[in-house]
Amino acid sequence: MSIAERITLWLAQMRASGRAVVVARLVILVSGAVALVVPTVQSWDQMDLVPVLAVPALVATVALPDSLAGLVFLLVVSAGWLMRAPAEVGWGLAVTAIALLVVHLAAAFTAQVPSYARMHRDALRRWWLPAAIAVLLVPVVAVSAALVRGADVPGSLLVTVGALLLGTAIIWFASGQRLRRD
Amino acid sequence: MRWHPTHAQIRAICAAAVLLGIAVLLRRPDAAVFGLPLAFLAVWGRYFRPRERPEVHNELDADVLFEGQATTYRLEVSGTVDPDIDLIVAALPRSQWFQYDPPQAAIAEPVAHGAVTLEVGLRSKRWGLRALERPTVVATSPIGAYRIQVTSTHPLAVTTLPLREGFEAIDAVPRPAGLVGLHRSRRPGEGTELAGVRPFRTGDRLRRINWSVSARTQELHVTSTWSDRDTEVVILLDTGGEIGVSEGIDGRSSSLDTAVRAAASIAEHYLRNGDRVRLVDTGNLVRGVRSGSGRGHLRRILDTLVHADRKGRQQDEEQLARRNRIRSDSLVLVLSPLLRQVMLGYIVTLVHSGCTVIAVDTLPPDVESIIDLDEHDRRTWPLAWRVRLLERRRDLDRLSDLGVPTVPWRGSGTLDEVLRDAARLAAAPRMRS
Repeated sequence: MSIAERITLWLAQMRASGRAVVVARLVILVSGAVALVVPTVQSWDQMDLVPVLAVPALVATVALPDSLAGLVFLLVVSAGWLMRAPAEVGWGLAVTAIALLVVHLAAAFTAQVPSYARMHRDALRRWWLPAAIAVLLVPVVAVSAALVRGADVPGSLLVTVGALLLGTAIIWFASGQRLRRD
Repeated sequence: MRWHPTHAQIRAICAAAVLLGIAVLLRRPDAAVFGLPLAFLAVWGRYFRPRERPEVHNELDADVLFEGQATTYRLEVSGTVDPDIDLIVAALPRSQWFQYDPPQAAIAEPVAHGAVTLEVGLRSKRWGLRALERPTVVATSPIGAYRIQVTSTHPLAVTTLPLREGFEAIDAVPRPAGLVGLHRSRRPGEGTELAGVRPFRTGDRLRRINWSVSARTQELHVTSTWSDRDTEVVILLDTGGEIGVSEGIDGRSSSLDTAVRAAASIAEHYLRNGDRVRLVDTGNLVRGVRSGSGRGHLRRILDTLVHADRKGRQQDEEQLARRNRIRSDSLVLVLSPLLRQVMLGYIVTLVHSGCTVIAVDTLPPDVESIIDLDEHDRRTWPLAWRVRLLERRRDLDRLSDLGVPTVPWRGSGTLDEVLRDAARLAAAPRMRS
């Protein structure tokens, strides 16, 4: 299939997109734009490289949600924030984190089905609970982090090692690893 | 085939790993705010990962359709479905000759109460035997974390019979024969068509006595009828080429489309009237059907006609005459675009053998305007066709001089006028040389 035929096919599929898929892609676009804009209105100066890398990644995520473009977008925006922003917790951080989370969820939802598929209205039935918990986790973690930082808890090495172990266990479990062989 | 993590799951794991690592190692709480929700989603997706591989069965409500008819393609996840399967997505490879509902033939259904059935409407647009390619079926877990591709069990095929429009022709055949059909013969006898009332003669059946006329005239009268006759109708199908564009039942028809549909309609009409119908193919595509009558014979002819879209070797004039011996009192209906000399020559042979031949012209009326710009020159193509059609006009005039009328196919009533003329001609006194 030539490039022209691929583009023609892709445009035809775009035209035939179902409403659910169009809405999901719009959600990716809007929440991605929010995740890009919020850091720019902060008091600190954002790196110029971030939008240069993140905008194409966002466009690619909208067009190809079942690709690594979403991961690139998430990491670029997060890295941009972590490289320039002070290590403080504020509303801007929470909004950006929620926006990134929504980008991830919307991309995951869109990637499940072909753009032209007709979707049942109950397709989101098993998404609401984990999505709501994940979104609620953002302010909870932010407030907790602010509290811990403000309380100046002693024994930071212990906390660091504990968090490291917890993070490793989560990643180990999430990536499907097992302690014993199958 | 196993459940594989999707890009979404890989994204959640990788982003969470990087961000939580940064949060811990660089003491950045903001990285934890970014990373922990993603880690939660990764864990959720992993925890609710399905274990079992779903099995999908596909079936059609009806695998034999008429043109324009619709059926339902059904995909059913059989057995006990893993409760952690969230969504089943199916996409049928689309074919030119089917219309789908939904139009893109892709559908996503959530698994509810341990079962799921996906239905796609399928409307056949053109006669023929077509295999439906296996659909792509994918099952996904909650929040799109894992997926598995499921292969359906067996391929399905749809047979589309070319019969759609009703065809009617007048009750006149040039040389009726036999004693079982519904055509009125030129001879009085046992039948249903009223011939008149005449005085009783020795040998008349008592049940034929017309009592009211007999009472009025004080003399026995009987109601006389014409005997019912059948005839052998030979449908000669020219499969030697397809001219024109075929767009299915809702669009333009090629010459082969018209010929096949006309053959089916004509066969249905004459078989309904009790005649014997035979199908002759000019090539070796459908191989023809021997003479017969009844509904079973109609099905035999229709089943044969669905294979006419294949490419095959054509017989020459001599082979046609040798392999297809046609009785001289048969009514031969030639369905052809009348462009090949072989066909014209065979028609002449049939006329000389005493058959009544009627040529049904299946050439599309807009044939000059159908141009493939990759292969044809825009200026010379219509001109070439015009010259070719002039030559064809000359050939058809010669056929007309031999007594072979040519009519374009218009559906019901196409043959009325020519059949009437042919019957009148057959009834006229002849001079034998």
